[in-house]
Amino acid sequence: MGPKKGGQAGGNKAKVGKQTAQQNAAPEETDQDERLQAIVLSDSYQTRFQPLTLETPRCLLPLCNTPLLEYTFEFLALAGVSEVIVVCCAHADQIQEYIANSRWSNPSSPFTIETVLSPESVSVGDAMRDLDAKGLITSDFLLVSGDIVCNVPFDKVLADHRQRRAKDKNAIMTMVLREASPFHRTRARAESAIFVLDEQTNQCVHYEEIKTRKHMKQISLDPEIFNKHTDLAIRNDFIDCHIDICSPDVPALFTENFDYNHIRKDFVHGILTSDLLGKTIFAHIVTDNYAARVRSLQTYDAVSKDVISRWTYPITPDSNLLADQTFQYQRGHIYKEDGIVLARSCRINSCTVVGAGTAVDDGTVITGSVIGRRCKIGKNVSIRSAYIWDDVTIEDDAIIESAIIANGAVIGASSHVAPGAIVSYNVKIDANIIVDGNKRLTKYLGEEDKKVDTDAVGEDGDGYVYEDASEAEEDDDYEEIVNSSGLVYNMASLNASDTSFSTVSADQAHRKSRRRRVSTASNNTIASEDSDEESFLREAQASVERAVAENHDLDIAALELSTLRMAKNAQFHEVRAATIAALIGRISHLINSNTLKARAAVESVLNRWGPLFRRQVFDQADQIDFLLLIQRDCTRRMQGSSILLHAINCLYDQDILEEEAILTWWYQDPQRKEDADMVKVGELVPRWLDWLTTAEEESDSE
Amino acid sequence: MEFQAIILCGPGKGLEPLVSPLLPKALLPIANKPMLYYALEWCQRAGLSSVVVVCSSSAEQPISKYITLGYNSMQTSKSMKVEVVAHDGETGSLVKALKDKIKLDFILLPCDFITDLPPQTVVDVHRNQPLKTIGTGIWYKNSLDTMDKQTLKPDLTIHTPISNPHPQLLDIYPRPKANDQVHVRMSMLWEYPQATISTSLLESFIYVFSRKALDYDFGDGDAASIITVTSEKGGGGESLKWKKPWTSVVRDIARDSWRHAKSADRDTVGMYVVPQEHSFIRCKSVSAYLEANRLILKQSSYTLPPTTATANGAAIGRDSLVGIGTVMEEKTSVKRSIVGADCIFGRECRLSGCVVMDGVVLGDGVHLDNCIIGNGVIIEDKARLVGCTVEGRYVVREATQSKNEILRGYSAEGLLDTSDEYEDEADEESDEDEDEDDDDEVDDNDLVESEGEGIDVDDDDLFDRS
Repeated sequence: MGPKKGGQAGGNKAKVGKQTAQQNAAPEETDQDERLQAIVLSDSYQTRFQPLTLETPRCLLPLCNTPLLEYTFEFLALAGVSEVIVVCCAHADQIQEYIANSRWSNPSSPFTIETVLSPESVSVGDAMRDLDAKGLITSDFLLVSGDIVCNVPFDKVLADHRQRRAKDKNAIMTMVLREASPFHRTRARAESAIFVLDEQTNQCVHYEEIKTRKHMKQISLDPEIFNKHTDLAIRNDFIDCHIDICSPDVPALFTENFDYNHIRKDFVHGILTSDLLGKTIFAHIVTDNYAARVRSLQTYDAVSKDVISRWTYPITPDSNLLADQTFQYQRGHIYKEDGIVLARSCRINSCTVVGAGTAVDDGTVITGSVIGRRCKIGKNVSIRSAYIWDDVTIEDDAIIESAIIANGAVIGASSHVAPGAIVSYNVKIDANIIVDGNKRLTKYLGEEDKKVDTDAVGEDGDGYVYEDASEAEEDDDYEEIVNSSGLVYNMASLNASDTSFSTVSADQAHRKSRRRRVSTASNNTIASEDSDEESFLREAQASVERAVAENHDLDIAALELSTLRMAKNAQFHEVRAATIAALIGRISHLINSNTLKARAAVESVLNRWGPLFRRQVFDQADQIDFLLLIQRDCTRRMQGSSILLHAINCLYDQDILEEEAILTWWYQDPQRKEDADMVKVGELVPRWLDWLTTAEEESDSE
Repeated sequence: MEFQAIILCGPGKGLEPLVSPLLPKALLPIANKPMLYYALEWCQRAGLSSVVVVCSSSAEQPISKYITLGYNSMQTSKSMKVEVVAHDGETGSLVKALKDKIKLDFILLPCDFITDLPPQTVVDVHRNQPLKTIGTGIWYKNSLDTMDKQTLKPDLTIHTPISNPHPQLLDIYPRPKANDQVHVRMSMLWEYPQATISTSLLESFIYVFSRKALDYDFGDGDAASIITVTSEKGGGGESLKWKKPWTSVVRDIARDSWRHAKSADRDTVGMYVVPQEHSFIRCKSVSAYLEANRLILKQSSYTLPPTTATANGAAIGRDSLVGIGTVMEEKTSVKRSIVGADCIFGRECRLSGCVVMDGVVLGDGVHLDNCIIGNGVIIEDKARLVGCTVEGRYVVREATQSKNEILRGYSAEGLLDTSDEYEDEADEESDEDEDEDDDDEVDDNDLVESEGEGIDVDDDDLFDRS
């Protein structure tokens, strides 16, 4: 119903536009103004949904049994868009096929749809540059990603934007922002930001991303903006779904500034801070309607719950967005399709969606969950707050809590899937297995060759533990992303409680902010030490990295470090930690970029920069501390064990490490074997120790 | 809820050369009545029973004289008790020092405001605030086009949106210098995700506060650590917290509302912005003073007292006000002006938009346009002044022609400053600098105190801060 109506409205509008155009004797321009293009970025350029997105693009992942892309198209139809361009990157074939077979390609579709391949793009910026090069954009357009759920009526937004554009050609962009509380569950933790807007005009004058991990204490505003704007609203309560109306200048600006990648972090920030461009960006604040973006597992969960509890009306499961869907609404937010087989004694509790062809056996309890089509759920299974997609088999007595089980997976009898776990396509989990909350299981291998992880999936299981290695190296916000992208926010650091996890996450965030506030304010002395230490580590590491990258003189680098140390009143331990982090980071970079082999990389870096440690490492205790630091650092690197081995060898040759210290560290220090990672990274050391002792014997015998 | 009023009378640096030790700012006439009268009258209308007038020790004598001989004798009912107290020091310490005298919730007022805003509105706003509001401050927007924007230089006021039912003050920053970044604390943004920074709000210095604010020690236990730490830096104990301008005290209370996560019922400072339909002027500069005179003139045009003394053919517009005992010769015309008592105007004088104080003597054919003429000034024949300010007892020579100048005698002060024209501006600037110092950071307050630029500076900090 929705799309058709939207289609008619859109069509009418276009007609009206033509009529008035003829009357006004300015035909082409008006006609063009009334048509609205939409660019849908089907790729998220992120890896948060991996391993699920290894096999399916994010926009085709089902949310309440309907692919995410449908919600986006539905929104575009309601918004009166007449031309949709879908930019495909990863899994382009799947997206193209899906669109070709969907009702949006029918002649009755409210808009024309076209897919554009942009296989090389790795960011929003690349996609925009590609679009600019292809010259597809003719007028102001709506830029959205393929994963939004939104029911905002768009006429007002568009009218406001056009009015501004008519007055000032430099108003190149309008961001649609939804007002909420700062701890709202659909506000992605990692991607929330502070907007500073002119109170009268809603012109955005400052954009600052909130960095949760770095304990951001304040935002800094340029005094210049106070001369231009009298009243500025600083808002920390927006949900930014990245729904933007852009003028054709926007892709052009991306082309001009080839280093812009992220639409907010780079583009908005860049435009706002540039005096030369003179372009302005405005915000449109939505207070009543719903808008959210599924950009992390945490928001996947939150948005699913919102859809089920009808915040997104008219976009709800029972509006049956797909032609073959037959959902019916029942009291207590239960949605059932036709052809479901429910045993007499099973219980379907409130806020649950069950797809067609699913069979639920005796004694099973399903609460607040989404179950796909054709699933087989056995006896006495307990499913709570979980997302189970199509064709999943769950055997008797299994327990599934707050997890995602993808198509075709099999959960063995009496197995337990803990909150936060992801079981990807076709993974088979044997009976009596416990899947930890932080595990992500997949069957997709790519080019790697791995054996089945029987530890994780059991003897008869099939699947591997997915490790997200690619990002760890490059992205220093890695930890933050992992923490905030999990289905269950920060579950690891939290004692699991019985409350539903959306409240847990909100609580947690709240507590976090509380803690942050306390640490910045009341516990002033302690907080300042903490932050001093932290900032020292960061600055010192940056200093060394700079020295290495720019090939400074060794003395200058050492001088800079010691100045920093004295300024921040830091301990030598921290100096060492910072230097190690920087140097091992460099080595690891050389190895990962295939510039040098492990040994050559270690030698090239340490022979040049190792002498730095002469001014940081003095007695034996220092040396042991130093070794532990290297060992710890190597645990998070690829080929960490060989880096460790060569580093020890190299530093021993330079007489920075003495034999005695190495031996004490290896044989006596309990911290060396603190955890599995530490042990693992040290696996190559015994060989070197053998060499050391034999060499000694030899020299003795001589 | 009963209130007590405290009226702070500053020396009025921005009004030089109109003010002098004999004529402190509080007694400077607006429409022929001392400024203080309007503040007192405002209190009377609010139905207050007791008012404390605080001034610097040098101004105590003339002000008490006015209260006993002038104000009290004018009042028909003696329902309001007025008391004069001399105090030198920061406004914050002053309020603290009055602790014994303040028995009720109190209203803090400057002596230099002119408004048509009914006092009841202000009191009601405070009464309707949520319980946790410890005080309410009044801010206003400059509605005068003639005001020099440079002299206003408002601070950055951070508050919750004014459209809220109960807008709240969150922080006050001094206006940043060219290259200073303005830092907004994240802790505030988590507590108050909608904050507004205003650069157009001016402090009225009218504050309605609960008496318990006097016991305010900036939280308790470790919550107070920020303040304690900074005061330790300053080298003082508890008393130091109050040894700073009152505005800083208010700011610290406001900051406390979000700085500590301790309890939900932290004290907050409410805000009220004078609505557009009301005028509000603080006479802190000469141009504001002129505007205030005009505003009163506008308000009271229907109650012009009958002009007592005129000569044949002198025309006094209905939009003007002339004091008792003033004599005007033939063909003199007065438009949109205020003339004090006992003046003698010669023939063919033209006055338009002027404020002329008492005992001024004009020769023949003097033309004055938008001028302020101090007490006892003598202007000789055919002088033409436009936009000038003339200090009391100055003698303007025959046929002088001046535009936008400040004419002042060679007093001791005058000798030091050779360039008369820039005097006013320079004063304003020094004003501003001091302000910035106090607001900068809490620990800077000590500096201001020890700057030791003589009584003048201290006094100025004392009352004129905003």
